[in-house]
Amino acid sequence: MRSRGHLLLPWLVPMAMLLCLLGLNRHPGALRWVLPDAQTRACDESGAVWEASALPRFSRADCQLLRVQSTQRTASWGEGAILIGGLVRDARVHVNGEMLRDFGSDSVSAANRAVLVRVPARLLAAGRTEILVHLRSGAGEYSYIGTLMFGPAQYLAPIAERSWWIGARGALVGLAVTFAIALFLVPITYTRRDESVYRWFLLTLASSSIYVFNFASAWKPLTLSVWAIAIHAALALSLWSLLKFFNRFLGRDDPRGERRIGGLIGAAVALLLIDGLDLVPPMLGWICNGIFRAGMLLTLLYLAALCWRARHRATIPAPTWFAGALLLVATLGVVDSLHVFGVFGGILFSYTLHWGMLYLLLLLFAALVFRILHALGAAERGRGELAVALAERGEELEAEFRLRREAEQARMIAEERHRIMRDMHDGVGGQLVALIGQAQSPGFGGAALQQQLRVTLDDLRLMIDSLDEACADLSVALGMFRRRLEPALAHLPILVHWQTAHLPDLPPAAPTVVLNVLRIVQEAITNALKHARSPTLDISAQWENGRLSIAVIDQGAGFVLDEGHGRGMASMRERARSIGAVLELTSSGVGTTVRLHVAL
Amino acid sequence: METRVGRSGPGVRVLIVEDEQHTRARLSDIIAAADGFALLDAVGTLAAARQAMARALPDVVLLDLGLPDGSGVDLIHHLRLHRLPCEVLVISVMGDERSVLGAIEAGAGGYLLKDSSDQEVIAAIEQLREGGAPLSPAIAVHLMRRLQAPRQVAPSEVAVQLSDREIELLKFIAKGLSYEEVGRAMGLRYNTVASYAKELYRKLQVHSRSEAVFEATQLGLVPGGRL
Repeated sequence: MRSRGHLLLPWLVPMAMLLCLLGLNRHPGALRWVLPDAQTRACDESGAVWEASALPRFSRADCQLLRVQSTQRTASWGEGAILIGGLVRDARVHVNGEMLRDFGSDSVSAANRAVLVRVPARLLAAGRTEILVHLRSGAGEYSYIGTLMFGPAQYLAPIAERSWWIGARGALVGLAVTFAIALFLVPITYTRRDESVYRWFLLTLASSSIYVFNFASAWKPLTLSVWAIAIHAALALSLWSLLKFFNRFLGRDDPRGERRIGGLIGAAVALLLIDGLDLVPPMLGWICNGIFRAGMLLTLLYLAALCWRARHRATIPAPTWFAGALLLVATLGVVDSLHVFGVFGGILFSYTLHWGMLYLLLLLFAALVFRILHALGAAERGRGELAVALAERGEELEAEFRLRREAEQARMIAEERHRIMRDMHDGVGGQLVALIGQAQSPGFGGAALQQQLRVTLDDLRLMIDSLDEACADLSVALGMFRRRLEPALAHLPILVHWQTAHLPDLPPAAPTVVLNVLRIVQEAITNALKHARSPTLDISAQWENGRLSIAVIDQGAGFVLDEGHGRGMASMRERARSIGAVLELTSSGVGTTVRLHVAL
Repeated sequence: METRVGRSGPGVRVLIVEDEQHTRARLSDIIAAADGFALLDAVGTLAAARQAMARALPDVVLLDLGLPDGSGVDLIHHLRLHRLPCEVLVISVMGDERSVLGAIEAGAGGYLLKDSSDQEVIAAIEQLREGGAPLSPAIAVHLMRRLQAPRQVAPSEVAVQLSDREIELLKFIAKGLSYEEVGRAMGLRYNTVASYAKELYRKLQVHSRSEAVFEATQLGLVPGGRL
């Protein structure tokens, strides 16, 4: 990303232009016309149009001074150097203070065409030749002083002229593009309010556009003096918004610096107004104007330094570009000012600062686009990295989950094993021990033994059923229980009604819940069979609101709850409590009801 | 007990394969005493059972699964492999799905609890002979789960799956209804219910076989995926 090309690129154009300027400044071959202030004004008032060579040409037909031909061979340079045309009544041409020719009023106006003025070689000074052209027409009298120089200027002048033309058209295109960019950026500015960099870019764009427009088009929407104030104030505004832009773009937070530069720019604009509104004598006005220009140049240098210092912190090489471009603009600003003050006069025209500002604008835009592209690339990369990281994390989680699941399974198996052992110990084991004890007692017959053994076997079957996956559904477990019990009940003189088949499929219950429910129901049935002497036994179940209610109802003798049945009841209650179920017992002379409520 | 029409010999010829001496003796007594039944032999090992069957093929085998020289399931496999017209009732201590379902899948026609009363033993054999089979609620649930579970098999094997009628029946059985009660609820005769149960057993056998074929095909053991 940070190749040398990136560092070099933004400097190439400024360096080339600087070299060009240095090479042409005061070059002996450079050609220019210097017009005194008063004469310039006179031309303006008569509707003169300033062309690229800074030679005035009258738009009106009454007075016309055509450009100096620069395609002449050096040897005959002086000859045919000046062409005078139009309805000029009188024209006098002086070369180096010597009258060259005095046209009679008839000779020029009657022709109404260009007249060739030959400058003999003897009149041309070796270094600098001054030509004074004095024209008199119906509208008034005008004097023009020109300086002729010899050398490569005759070849460079057309190039400079063409580049001026291209530059002006380019600036127009550039302005059109900047407005397109502005349209493109407005929604961003709106939607990303927290990123004020776009807002400041827009302000820079708008204010610079006014300044550049002055260069791109000859059309002046206001009177000259007001327009001059407007465009220079726009320049000041664009520099201030540039400072804001750079600070946001580079992520700098420097309100103090912004206030200082803002103050400097404000003061410069005040001086600009003093000069532009002619509030002070001309000399003082020029000084004010000079200070304004110096303020602008200092701001440009400050911005360049700011960018240069920030170049290490940026992710893209834009600050380096900015620093180079700002230095170039400052240089062009110096050239522009020297031009305005008449100190400098190369082959290059004025308006160089306008060019620089346009260049800077395009660079800002390029940097923004580059930044957006860079951000997009970073986002793409980030997404890829995120996906990889996510996949890794997913695998980790999966592995962790597997481990946990295995651990949980192991724990559950251990618990289940423990439960089964306890059940066997308490249930079958206890019953067998009791049997051994009973078997040793005299009078314990085969029938009693068989009965006890059957109880033990039934309990073992309950345990095994409770471990069956199918019996996790208590409705199936009850069905199974019924099928186990029915053959034995069939032989007893009691009518047993089962009302459990209508139950829906129930949510799965833990084996311990199933076993305890079945044992409680079994205990209730056993008690009824043993003690109630009831003609009927109703075993029913209801499923309501996530709760299974099982009822064992006989119509037997009943019993007093506190007497006799303590042990069996206590064990039923204990079983119900251990699985979070509720056991209700009601008994009277007309029967006993045992109800068990289990939440599933 | 009436003698069956169209059958030669003394009645239903029963072979008992049970290694536990007392059970074997008790079952032998029950069969011997029952009208219309003839005890072919009562043996305690697989080898002896094979020998006995080589001598004379029984109509019904009462088969214990845990034998000293192997599993009773092997004998069922042997019978089914040779397509011998012989029904098997597995003698189970608990009647739990683990032992019973495995035997049914192999081809047993039903199961008998070891502590069944005399009448229950005779009733179970008769039910089997009449084309019925015993179904407990838990086994009904397992049948539903096995046969309803979506499997990735060829469409031709979907035929093994349960019909709506069979599912209804299994649901009744699962809630503990007897065959009589199921018959009343579904408007069927007892024998029809029992034959449904037998058909379900057959489906489970086919299912387990097709599942084995499917798995073998998946493993690349059977080229073409058909036996």
